[in-house]
Amino acid sequence: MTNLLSDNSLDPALRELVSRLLVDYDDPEHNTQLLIGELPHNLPFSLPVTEGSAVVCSMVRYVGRQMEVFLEVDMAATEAASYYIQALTEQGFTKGNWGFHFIDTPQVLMCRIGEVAVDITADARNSLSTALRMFIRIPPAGTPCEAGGKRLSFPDAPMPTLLSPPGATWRKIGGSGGQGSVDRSAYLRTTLNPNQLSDFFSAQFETAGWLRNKDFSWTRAIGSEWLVTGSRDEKWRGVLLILASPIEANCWRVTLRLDRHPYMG
Amino acid sequence: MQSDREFEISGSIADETTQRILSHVFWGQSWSRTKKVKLIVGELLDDLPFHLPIPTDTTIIGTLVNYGDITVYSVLLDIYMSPQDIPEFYSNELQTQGFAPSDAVVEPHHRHLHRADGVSFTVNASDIENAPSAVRMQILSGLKRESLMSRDEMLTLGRYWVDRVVLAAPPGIEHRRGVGSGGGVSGATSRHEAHSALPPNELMSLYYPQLQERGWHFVDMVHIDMAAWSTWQVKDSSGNLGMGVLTILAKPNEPGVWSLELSVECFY
Repeated sequence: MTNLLSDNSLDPALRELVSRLLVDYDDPEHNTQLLIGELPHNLPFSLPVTEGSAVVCSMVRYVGRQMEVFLEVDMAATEAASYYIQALTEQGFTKGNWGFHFIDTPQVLMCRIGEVAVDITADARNSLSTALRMFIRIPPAGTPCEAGGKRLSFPDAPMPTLLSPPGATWRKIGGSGGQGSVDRSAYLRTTLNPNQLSDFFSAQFETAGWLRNKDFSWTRAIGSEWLVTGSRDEKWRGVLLILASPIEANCWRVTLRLDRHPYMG
Repeated sequence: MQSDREFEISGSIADETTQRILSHVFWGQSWSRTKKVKLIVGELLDDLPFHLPIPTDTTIIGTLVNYGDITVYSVLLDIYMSPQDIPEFYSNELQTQGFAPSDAVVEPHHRHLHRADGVSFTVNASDIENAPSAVRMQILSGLKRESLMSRDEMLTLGRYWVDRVVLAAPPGIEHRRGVGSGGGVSGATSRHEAHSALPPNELMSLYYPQLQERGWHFVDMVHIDMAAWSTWQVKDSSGNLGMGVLTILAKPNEPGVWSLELSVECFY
C-alpha cells in the first residue's frame, strides 16, 4: 500500500501542500491517506474495474469511515454511471434520494440502508472516457441512506432530479410538502430564453419517464404539466413553473410542484 | 459536464502518475463549473484580486486555485503569530483595502470579510504546539451581491418585507394566519391557509390591496386550475431589492382549502 502523503520520493514541499489541502482538521487523528492506484482495503462492497479502466487513487479519512475512489473508466459518462449503478444494485444497493432536486453535476446516490452510502459522479473526459468519483460514507450518517431514511422528507414522491443548464448558476431556496404534495424552488441565472429553458427541463422529465400533459405560457412566465405513475402504481401530477425575475434579466424562479392522485383533476 | 480537466502544478516537479492523481483529487473537490485547477507550491499567485499582506517570517506553503465564473483561491501559510491575533491582523489590514467584516459574531480563530466588487476573504488559524500557526485562507472573486451579504443581512431583509405584511382575511374568506414561517439562505417565508370556493386567480386578487398598502409593487400573476403565483418587487430604504412571491396552492384532498405562501428572496 503506497500512501502518496507519506511517500518520501515526492518533493517535500509539494507533499506538505497537498497534505494540508486534503487533511480534514475535524478528523482528530489527521490520518488522511491517499492510496496510489489502489482501492481502499476495507471497502464493504466489490468494485469491478473493467478492462481498459483503472483505479487512479483512493482517499481514506476518519479511520475508514469516509472514502473517495477515483477511477478512469473506458466508457462514456452515462454508460459508466449505469455500469456501476448496476454493479452496486447486484450487491443489494438501491437508489437513494437526497431530497433536493436541482443539481449542478450528474450525481447518483446508492444506498445499502443503514450500512453504506455511495455518491457517484461521472465526469466526461471525452465521448469514450470518464473520470468517475465515488464518495463513500460508512455508516451513512446524515444521508438518506440512514436506517429509517430519516432524512427523506417525502420518500414517496417521484421528484425528478433536475440538472442545471450548462453555464447556469443556481440558488436553491427550499420547498415544502406533506399530505401528498411536494414543491421545490430555486433561482436560476442563465442566458437561455424561457422556451429553451423549458425544453431543457422537459427533456429531463421525459428521460425520467414523465408524460407531458399541458403547456402554459404567459408574458413573464412559462410552465408545463406532467404526469407519472409512482412505484406503488399511484398517479402523480407535476407542474414546472418558470417565473421571470422582476429585478434582473436572465434570472428565473423555477418551481416544481407535485401532487398525488386522487387530487388530480 | 466537464470535458476538459486542465490541471497544472507550478513550483515543483511531479511525475506523470502524481500529476494524474492530484488532477483527479483536486478536480473531485473543485467547485462546479471550474474550468482549470492550478496548484502552486511554496508561492502565492501573482495576480490575487487584492494585495495580501504577509507578516514577517511567514512560510508560504502554497496556493490552490480553481478558475471559473467564481475563482477560488486557497492559500496556506505558517505564520508566527498567535491564532487569535491572525484574524485580527487580516481584518485590520483588509479594511484599509475596502473590505468590510461579514459576521455579526466574531469567532476567535476565524474571520470573514467581503468587498463590494465581488471579492470575499476568509481566514482560519489553528494551533500547532511549539510551532507557527497553520493558516488557511479562502479568497473568492466574481461573487454576485447576494453572496456578499451575510446570512443575517439576507434574512433580515427578507424578514422585514414578510413581516410588514400580516395577511388578513379578505372579505368573505376564512383565513388562518401564520400556519408556518421560515427562512432560507436568502430570504424569509410566512405560510397561511384560506377557505374559499373561488378559483385561485380570483382568490389571489383579493390579497393584492394588503400587499400594496405595505409597499409591495405588483409585477405579474399567473395561474392554473390548482395554483396561482403573483410576483412582486420590494425595495428597502437602502435600495436593496427583493423578489416577492405570493403562492396559492390547492391542498390535496381538501376541496376549497388553499395554502398560501408569502416569500421574499433577496437574490440580487
